[in-house]
Amino acid sequence: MKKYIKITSIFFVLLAATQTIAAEESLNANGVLKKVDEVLMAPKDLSALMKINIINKNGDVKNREVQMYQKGDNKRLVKVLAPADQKGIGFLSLPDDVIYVYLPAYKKTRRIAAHVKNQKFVGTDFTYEDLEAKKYSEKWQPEGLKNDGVFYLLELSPKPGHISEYARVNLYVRKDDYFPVKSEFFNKKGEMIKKMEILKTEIIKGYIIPKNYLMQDIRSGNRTEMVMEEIKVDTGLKDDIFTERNLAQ
Amino acid sequence: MKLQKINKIIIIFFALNLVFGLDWSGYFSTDHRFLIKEYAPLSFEEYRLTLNPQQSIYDNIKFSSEIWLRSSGLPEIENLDDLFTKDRITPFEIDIREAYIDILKFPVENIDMRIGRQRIAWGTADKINPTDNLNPLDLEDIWDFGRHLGSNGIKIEGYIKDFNLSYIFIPRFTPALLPQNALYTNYSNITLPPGINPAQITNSISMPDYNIKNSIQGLRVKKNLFNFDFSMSYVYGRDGIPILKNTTIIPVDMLGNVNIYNELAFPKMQIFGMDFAGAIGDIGIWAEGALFLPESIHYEIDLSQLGMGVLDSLILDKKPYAKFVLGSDYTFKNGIYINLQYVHGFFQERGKEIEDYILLGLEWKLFEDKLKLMPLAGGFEIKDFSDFKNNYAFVYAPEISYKPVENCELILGARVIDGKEITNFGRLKQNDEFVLKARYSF
Repeated sequence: MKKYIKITSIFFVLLAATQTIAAEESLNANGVLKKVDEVLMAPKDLSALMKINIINKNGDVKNREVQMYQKGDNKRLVKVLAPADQKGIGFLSLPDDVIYVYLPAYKKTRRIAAHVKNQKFVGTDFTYEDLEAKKYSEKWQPEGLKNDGVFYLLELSPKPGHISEYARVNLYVRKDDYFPVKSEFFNKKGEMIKKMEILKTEIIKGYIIPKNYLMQDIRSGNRTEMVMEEIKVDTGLKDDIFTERNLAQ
Repeated sequence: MKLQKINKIIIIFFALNLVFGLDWSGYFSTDHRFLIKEYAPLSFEEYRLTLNPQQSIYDNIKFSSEIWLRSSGLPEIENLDDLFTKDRITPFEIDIREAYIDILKFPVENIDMRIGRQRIAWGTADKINPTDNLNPLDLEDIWDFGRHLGSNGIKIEGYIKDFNLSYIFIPRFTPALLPQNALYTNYSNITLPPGINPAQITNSISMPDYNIKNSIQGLRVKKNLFNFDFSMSYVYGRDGIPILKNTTIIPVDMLGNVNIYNELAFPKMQIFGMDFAGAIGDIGIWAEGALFLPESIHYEIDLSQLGMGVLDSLILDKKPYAKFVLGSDYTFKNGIYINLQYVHGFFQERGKEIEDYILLGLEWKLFEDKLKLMPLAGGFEIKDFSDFKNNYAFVYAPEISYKPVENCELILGARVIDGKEITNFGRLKQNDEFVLKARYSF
């Protein structure tokens, strides 16, 4: 009987210890994700000219050029400068999952429904969802945290109410500065469908700014390279840039 | 004479380009349509260079324009003299669709003004917009749904908290541009007393005087509510498609031949509109409706010279009527996009003429958007639900689009029409055609 009590006690102690470790890990995962948000959203505002190359599996290249403005952690405006047949298309991301698109051919601004968010933005491998200005911690729940010495690996799943094309995202975060250098995107079947790497960062006014992106579509074999040029931070961008009024101009 | 005018316009833009350094963009497009009949007669041809010059003059002042340089329609060569007129052999025209100046944040921070010829596109529905009544309809190409002419006017937009207010003033009324083959409008089918035959029919237009009273004005309020974009609008204007007001019948001989003189007028209209767009779950939805309050128009047939007096009937009741569109769209994971609209009232319909339509579009982009298939596209018309069998028509318009290189698009399409001839679509059933289009943007 004593032996039985002893074993039971050990079991409960171990169980409690496991739960404590899990809670700490969970806490750490949340903490790491919050740090990631702080690093990514550190500049008060940012503007850049983005030069984009879309490369298909045969090596054919298409070019895009867009101007991007961002303010705080939830406002982003993107305007297409090239190619000619898409020039003038605008994309405005606002808080609470609100996205507006301006289509010059129709002279109309339209709020887009969630089904459009998983569509490619002007033919790139980035979807509207990928380009939204967002805090990870507001939309994604870290399910686990791994530590390989150089990176934290966060496994993220959508928070309840967040509609996403992705069922899971693996985020590789540099341990030294909490900068996420790689993301892997998975569908509901658990298959990796896309992979994004930040190949180069730059320190501007003390902020870590991603300079070169590479987004790979695993299924199609296509990839999109994006280079940020003419980067300006903390220039005091006004709120009225991030309005429907400005989107249509 | 016409070419001289075109040359002058080109010189003006060339000078503007030199002075202000305009930023030019646009596209070149071709459009050929062949009837699906023996020898495939050409039913439509257009070569168009669309130019969009723009220039920011100051931070808050910007000039924009849209100009069409085009060769449109088939040559009308009937006699030898026509061979000496270039315009007869190769019809060409210049059309300034828009030319306006935006003055932003003027006279106060939250007001923008747009002055000049402009297109004011109201409404949330896709191409069929009951609330889009400020610009005159451009029905030249009846298959280019939603095309309007620009209007010379002023648009003032105010931004107060979350509200967007627009006021539009168009000093002069401009009628709609009607299709050449009068498919929508036939003013010649007057029922004459037995033994009386029309020798000549003259349709004259009674244009409203050019004064403030006959100006077009519009007001719209927009706001986001419960994650839906709502707007309410009011337009004081006129119907751009004329309606018969008077007919005078004058005998020309003792054999019963008469000349018919029709007078057409543009009824005044007040239009109250409302629309919204948003999403339920991840499905896009929209609704747009307008209540039309026309002035009543009495139609007089003067038969007094035939000794039959004057007949008077109410051709347009001032009773309000409504048009509306309900629509939804969705994109599947595989990239297939579907768009469905229920339309109560097409562009040219009014009062008791209003019919119902179901419009469908299914689009599938493949090979990195190089190929776009539209296997299901078209519309279904129901003139009378109670006698559906005798009152329906449909248009099936599949299309394939291919982009061989960036900025270049080639389109092959068809239009197959069938149904009862009393319907709008049904009247076009002899006009099945296939379409070849090309477009290059720069």
